Amino acid sequence: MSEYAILIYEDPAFYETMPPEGWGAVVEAHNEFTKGVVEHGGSITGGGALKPVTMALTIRGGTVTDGPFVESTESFLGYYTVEARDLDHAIELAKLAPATGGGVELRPLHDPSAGQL
Amino acid sequence: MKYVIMFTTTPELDAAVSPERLEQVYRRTYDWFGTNREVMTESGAQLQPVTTATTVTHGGDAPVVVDGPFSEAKEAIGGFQVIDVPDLDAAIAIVKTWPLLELPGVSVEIRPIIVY
Amino acid sequence: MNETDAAAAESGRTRAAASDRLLARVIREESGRIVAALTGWLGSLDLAEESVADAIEEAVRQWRRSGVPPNPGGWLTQAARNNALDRLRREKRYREKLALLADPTEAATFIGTRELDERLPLLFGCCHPAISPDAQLALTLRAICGLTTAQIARATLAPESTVAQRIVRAKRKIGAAGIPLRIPEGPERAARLDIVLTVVSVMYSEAHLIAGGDAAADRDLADDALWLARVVAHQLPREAEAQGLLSLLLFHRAREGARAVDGELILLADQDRTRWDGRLIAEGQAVLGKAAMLRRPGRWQLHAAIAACHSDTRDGGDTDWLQVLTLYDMLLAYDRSPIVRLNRTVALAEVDGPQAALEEVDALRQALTGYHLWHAVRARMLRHLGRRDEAMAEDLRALELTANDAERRLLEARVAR
Repeated sequence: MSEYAILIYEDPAFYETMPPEGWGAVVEAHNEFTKGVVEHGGSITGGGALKPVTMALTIRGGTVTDGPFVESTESFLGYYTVEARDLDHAIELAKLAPATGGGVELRPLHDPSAGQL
Repeated sequence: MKYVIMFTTTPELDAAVSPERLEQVYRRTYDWFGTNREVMTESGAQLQPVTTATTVTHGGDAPVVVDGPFSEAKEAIGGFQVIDVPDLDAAIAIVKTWPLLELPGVSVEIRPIIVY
Repeated sequence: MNETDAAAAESGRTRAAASDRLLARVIREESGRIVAALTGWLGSLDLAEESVADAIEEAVRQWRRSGVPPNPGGWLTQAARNNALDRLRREKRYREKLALLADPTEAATFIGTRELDERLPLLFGCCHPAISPDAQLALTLRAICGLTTAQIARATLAPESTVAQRIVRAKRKIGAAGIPLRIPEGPERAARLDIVLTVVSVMYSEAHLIAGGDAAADRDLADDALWLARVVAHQLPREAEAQGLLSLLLFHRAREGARAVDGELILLADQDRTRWDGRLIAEGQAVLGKAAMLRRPGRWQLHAAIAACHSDTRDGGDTDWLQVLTLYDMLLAYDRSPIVRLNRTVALAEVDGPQAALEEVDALRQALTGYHLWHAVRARMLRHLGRRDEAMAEDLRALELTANDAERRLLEARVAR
């Protein structure tokens, strides 16, 4: 098994304009995903949901500035780390991830114990 | 309070740094994680280079799989770590000591984490 | 130089040329198998592929000098294996791995004893959607067909350094991101097969689009594509679309002799049909018939069926254009790309007249305005409508846009008329 990060990019406007009761559906979608990963033979090793990019600040060369480092329509709003057999399996799991109006990026994790051949 | 600290690098600038210097900075970064052990949560990931990234986006009928990162920006996320500190100033103070910030094109973004 | 020397030099050249041809065949037949077997043995496509590429270069040097050895495939396998071990020895940190691999009995069980053709899983891995389309083609040409980076660069009109970088990146990604080298099962299979077939078809069409080359240049790449289409169709006899692509390439290949005469391109309608290869046409029809029996229609079979319509005719005048147009309409359900819609307008003009076809061509203006054939087709419609000055302007625009010498001369001849 290898570990992969699923980086979730979404349009923040979706959340900004969502009525408060909408959060129930979002939480439900993530619960579905968590169950789905196990049903598809993977496992979740970590994850986090990030507050909106308006809450972000960036440090570069000792200077602190307001706002996210990369400005774009879709922003990085959350991630999971999962264990999967190979990239095809990781893609199968990533397709289950909720990413309203955006997409997900899959990156293998660096495993310091394994030599690269 | 929990924050995610997100390391962003610029791959084209990374290439200009000598392997010796990189190795030295990486060793100090490794130590840095040790020094700040008490604020690190179990959640975090060090990502392989952006050249290994694959993106899955919603297509017409079925999700579309393509080579490359989601964002077309020059900068790429290199990894992230969730820290648990009293406030934002504490987070900034720790991040400022992060050794990789000495390298050109490296930035850290700090964002609070949503707690349900 | 005296006569004896001249004869010796001539005989040396003949031997070199003969071994080049034999070597090209051996490389194509063997390199994919050796890369696949070595990858299984070493657990690294990157290392396996580099070792085989080096072995091919050694073979070219040595075989030209001293002739092709009796068992060229075995020679290449042994050389590639030695290269892999040398590369491992140079890397100190792989010492443990080397100790595991250097056992010759183990190597023997990995190479040369497998019954299954391992090239197919390797090919499906090279055509993974997580690898960019440019790199899928480059990596397939190198790992499966055994082309050198320089040959790929010439064939794909890309700088050699770009091709080299694409290949290295793709190989490393296969290793680092964990791309499995296997033929996917279930719902992914059809989508992946379509990428494989697309790569093979691009390989075939690239052979005709060498900038500055003439129409007869780089026949080898077309030959490689036809060969690879045969390998895929033969290994996957139940996949109708694999048969469809093979059939399509057979029809194209059959017309090759008439398409390019003395480096000049000749349009389908003007081709001398006695120059078509009847044997290849018969094979194309047989393969298409076999595909139809599988009852799984798809875009490659429809492309082949359209090509079959043209091959059925004795001259351009008795083409069944209604049938061609019907097939294009069916094809649109699978592939609505502007190129397919443009090709359809040629049949549309024959059935519904040039005015209807011109309207459809104009609807594609935005998508294809930088594509020389869009201007060439538009010129043809305008000429049929008697709008000669506009037709001339479009032909000139097509001329400006085409990078291929033979196509340019074809258009020049039309403008001069």
